[in-house]
Amino acid sequence: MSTVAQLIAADLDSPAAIPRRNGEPVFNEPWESRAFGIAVALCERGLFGWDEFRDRLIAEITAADARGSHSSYYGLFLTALESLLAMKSICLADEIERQVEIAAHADNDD
Amino acid sequence: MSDHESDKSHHHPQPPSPAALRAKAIESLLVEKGLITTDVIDRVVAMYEREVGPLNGAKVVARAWTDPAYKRRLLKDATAAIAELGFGGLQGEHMVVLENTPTVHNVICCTLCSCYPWPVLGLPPAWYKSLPYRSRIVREPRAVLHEFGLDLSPTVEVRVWDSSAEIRYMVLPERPANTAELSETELAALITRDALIGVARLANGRASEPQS
Repeated sequence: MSTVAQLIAADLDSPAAIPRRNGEPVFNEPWESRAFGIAVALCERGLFGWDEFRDRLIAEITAADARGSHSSYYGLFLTALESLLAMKSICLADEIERQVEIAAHADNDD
Repeated sequence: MSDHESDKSHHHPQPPSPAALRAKAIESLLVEKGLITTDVIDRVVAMYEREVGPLNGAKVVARAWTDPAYKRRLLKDATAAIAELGFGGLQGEHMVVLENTPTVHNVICCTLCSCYPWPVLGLPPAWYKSLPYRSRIVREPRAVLHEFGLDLSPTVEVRVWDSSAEIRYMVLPERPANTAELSETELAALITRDALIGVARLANGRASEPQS
């Protein structure tokens, strides 16, 4: 098991612990597993540490709780990933917005 | 091309959600920057699923191995027997559990797209959804199983089950030898996703020995 996977598997009850059902990770939609896979893959490439990502995620969860938001875990996971990518200048926020536009149009063209 | 089209209509009844678009956008941006490949993400997700395991399905199998009455109920009405353990979430589709024996080996697939018993097996592995698996497992199951490292004796009958929107299958693997002293929980830990799909048998040394 990779170190990142070990860290994730060992985290059962912190606010950042991934959703599980009877011990198994739960992805409700395919994009959730993609978001998860992207974060782990970038972390394994050494672009950021898992604890850095987890801190971002906890900050997003805390902020969402404070404003009484009912965002899903992976919704916040994605927000945390975007903000860390921007903080590390890996992907800037406007680059992401532009790509979202492209993806939306590509989907409409299908 | 007709394959691809039927696949598409089956997969995308609705436009992707905003979150799905964002995830896709981030992925393609990172791929463009050469920081990541789609294959790497597939591998990470698959690895993670393998390590953490399809616990619900494993618990069902471990219970069936240790409780003959439960096993009978499971083979008769899997949907109800699985619900007994508190695993639901099936959306109207029926579960059917297929028992492997020394003479019959079952393997599941979905030739049309990627129908899969999510509530018991979790997320389908990437290869399960791939066209080569979907088309070849029906045509040449033994060759495909060989590529998974599973060589079955010619005397073992291979049955391939094609999932649909109405019926989802799971394989009940044979209980490995020398596991008589193990608890239900310990048994569950031995069970792999691939064995529940039917592309692997559970290792105990006996399975890989030539059957003469």
